[in-house]
Amino acid sequence: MPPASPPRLLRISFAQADVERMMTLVENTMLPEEPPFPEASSTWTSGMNLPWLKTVREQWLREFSVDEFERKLNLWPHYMALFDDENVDLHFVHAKSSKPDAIPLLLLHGWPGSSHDFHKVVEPLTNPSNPTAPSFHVVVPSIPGYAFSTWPHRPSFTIVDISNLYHRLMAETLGYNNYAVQGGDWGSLIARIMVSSPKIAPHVRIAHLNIYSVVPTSAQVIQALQALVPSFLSCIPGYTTLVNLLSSTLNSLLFTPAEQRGIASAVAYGRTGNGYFHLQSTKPLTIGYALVDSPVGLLAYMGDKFYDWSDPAHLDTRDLIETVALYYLTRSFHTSVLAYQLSHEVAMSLVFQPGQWTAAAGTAIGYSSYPYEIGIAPRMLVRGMGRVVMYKEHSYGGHFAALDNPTAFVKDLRELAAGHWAQ
Amino acid sequence: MASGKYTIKPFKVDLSAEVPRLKAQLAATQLPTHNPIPGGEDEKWGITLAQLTKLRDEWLVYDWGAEQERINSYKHFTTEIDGTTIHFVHEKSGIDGAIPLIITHGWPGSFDEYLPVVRPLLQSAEITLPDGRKKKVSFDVVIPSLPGFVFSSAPPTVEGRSLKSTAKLWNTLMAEVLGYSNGYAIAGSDWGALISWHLFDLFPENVRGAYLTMFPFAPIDSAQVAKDNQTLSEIERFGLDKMAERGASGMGYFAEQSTKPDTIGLALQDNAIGQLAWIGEKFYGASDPTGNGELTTKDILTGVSLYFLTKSFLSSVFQYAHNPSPFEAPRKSDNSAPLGYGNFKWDAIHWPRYYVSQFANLVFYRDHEKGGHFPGSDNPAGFVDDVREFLGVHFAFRP
Repeated sequence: MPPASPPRLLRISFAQADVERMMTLVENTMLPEEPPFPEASSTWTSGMNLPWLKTVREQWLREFSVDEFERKLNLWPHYMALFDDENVDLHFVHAKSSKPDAIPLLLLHGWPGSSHDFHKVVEPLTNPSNPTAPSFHVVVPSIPGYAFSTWPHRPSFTIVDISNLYHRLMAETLGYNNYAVQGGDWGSLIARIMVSSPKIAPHVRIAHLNIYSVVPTSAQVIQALQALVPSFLSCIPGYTTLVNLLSSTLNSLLFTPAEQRGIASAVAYGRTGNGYFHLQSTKPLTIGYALVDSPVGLLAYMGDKFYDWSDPAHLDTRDLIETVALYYLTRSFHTSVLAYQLSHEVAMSLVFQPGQWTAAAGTAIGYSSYPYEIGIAPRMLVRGMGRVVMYKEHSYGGHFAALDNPTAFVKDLRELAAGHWAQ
Repeated sequence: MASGKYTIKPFKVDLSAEVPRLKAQLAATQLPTHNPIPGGEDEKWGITLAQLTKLRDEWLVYDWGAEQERINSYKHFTTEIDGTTIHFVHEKSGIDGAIPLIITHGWPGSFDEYLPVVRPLLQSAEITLPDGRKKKVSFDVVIPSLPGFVFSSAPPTVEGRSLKSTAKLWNTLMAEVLGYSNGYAIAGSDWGALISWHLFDLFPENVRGAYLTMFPFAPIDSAQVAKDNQTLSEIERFGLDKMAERGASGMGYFAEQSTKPDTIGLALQDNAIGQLAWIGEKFYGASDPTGNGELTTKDILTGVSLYFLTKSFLSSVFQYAHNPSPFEAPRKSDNSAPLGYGNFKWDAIHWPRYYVSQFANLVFYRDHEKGGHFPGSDNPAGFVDDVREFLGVHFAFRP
């Protein structure tokens, strides 16, 4: 293994011409006067809501300031670390605590997120106002192909490769032999790979997930059983009512209300919420090329997910605008979606064969569920991963938990660290 | 001009004022300089950068004015049915006994994809009947725009967008608005075929023959064919294999448009490159790739231009969301009128002959080496020959 190159400091600065171009497009892109159908103006059942899109576009025009955005980004030092043998120049934020014994913490984003997902939690994590609370050295990489991390231009590049890269970043580049990992979305899959890797897991003392995307074997069995039910049975009047009654009775016996709600939202996702997943898993460059140079297009496409997966009472549309701006200004949208094609097999294995991805060492695992997440894993399911020492259910927040419930996000990490970092 | 309670207005396509904005947007849009997947210049990842760049470069010099003139050389009209403005091309043969034929396009198609078959069909052509006699055949041709596409307005209700609702609109158009009250024939592909099927099924007294390339029944696979103990022709087999491959990798757009039409619709509504990528991929993926097909890049550009310049892309994708389960279990239609099927080799979905014969009185089934999902453009002569032979032999007006 060649020695890791020392990281180079990166001051985030967007070219004025690019920003002007972006804002011109944001202003000049035409949106329809009326939604195509009357009910589409007051609901989200058809996807992106037109009045909402217009409001956020107006906010972008009115409030976005690149100087302010750069200032926000540059609050913490950014670096590039070249991994020549992987053909990746990896971007990451590295925010060190003033406490020398702070815990190295890797925060992993997904799609359509970014390293910016964590901008509200870096300060409290590195610098807690309570001096007895654990503090962290926070490392936030961008997935290769996202934002400032280069795309390796390889025909095969999966989240397994990315997990290896992240381990090298922590252990070799930054010298953190033992560290904690936190992940959501693709980040949660990468975290699970790290925790199940015999090589990496011994270095990962703590792992925290805010999503655990697993379809339990029992669900697969139930699905198979349902397929066997003769169609004439389901035509009997009252059959559907009976089945629903049985299901809801069983559900309330087996699962907490939060878990039930989570199961329902996972089912809804499977029915109407994963078109993007099919699309990006099969024709990523069609949608990639279609939107890479369209800020309003990105706002509609990515905004759909931000809205759908966030707590509407806590979603700050500034975060959405800044995330879209980041994707647009770094021209990384078309490479961001490639993960769905390239890592499809691995992802499906993590989802449908979780038994192959159980913890390889004694990592202390924490899981937090947020009500607006895509599905919630019941306790019995998460325990299959390994040594689960924490299971929290929060009353607000969603998929981008560090954005819409940063308080709980930080609190859970502190609790996990306080209880399980020291050995 | 009025026909009973319906007014028919002549219509001229006039979108030239929108073109400068389109060209400016195209010229300003920046595409990546190279493919992120080295060696990946194939359609496995979606439209290729080479395909998209070529289309974009051609679109920059594309002469909309000339295409508009070509389009306007046909007779266009609009009428109002049930609160919906329906645009259609209507050309009459002028010959006694001409068969009235309504041809319906799908998505991402348009009336334009069927213009190449219009003039040939108007001509009086000689066919040979099964008993050896000669017969002259000609057609009156009607090509509507689907509700919510291009020059047809979107129906005001969700139910108004259903396949059966459109079928009813079409029957009103033919039988009442245009006065073809002794029976007519239908043809269609993609959504147009599904709608045509319902038209065939719902109006047996009017629809006296149907030539389709798709059906609202779940397609079968090779396993089912084996179970049914059937042998397929080479093209039938080829079609099923291709379909299996496409089922696994080609349905992302379908899932997105069925569930989040507003998301993809708004994202691409004022995004010419976006629509070019999204739609171009479909034309490439389901058309004759051998070089024998007649569908050109200019045809693709005209198709996308029609969506973009009329701002109807958003509305068009709701066709999927408002018909999320277009396929049902196969059944036989109550309409005993003859059914014909054209099996164009490069099409996306295929229906073996034995399977189609379950749906209706299948009297005509022809394999075509040439052409794909857009047969009116890709193999117009094949389409015309099929329609002439099939309907020439089997169509009869209501006695």
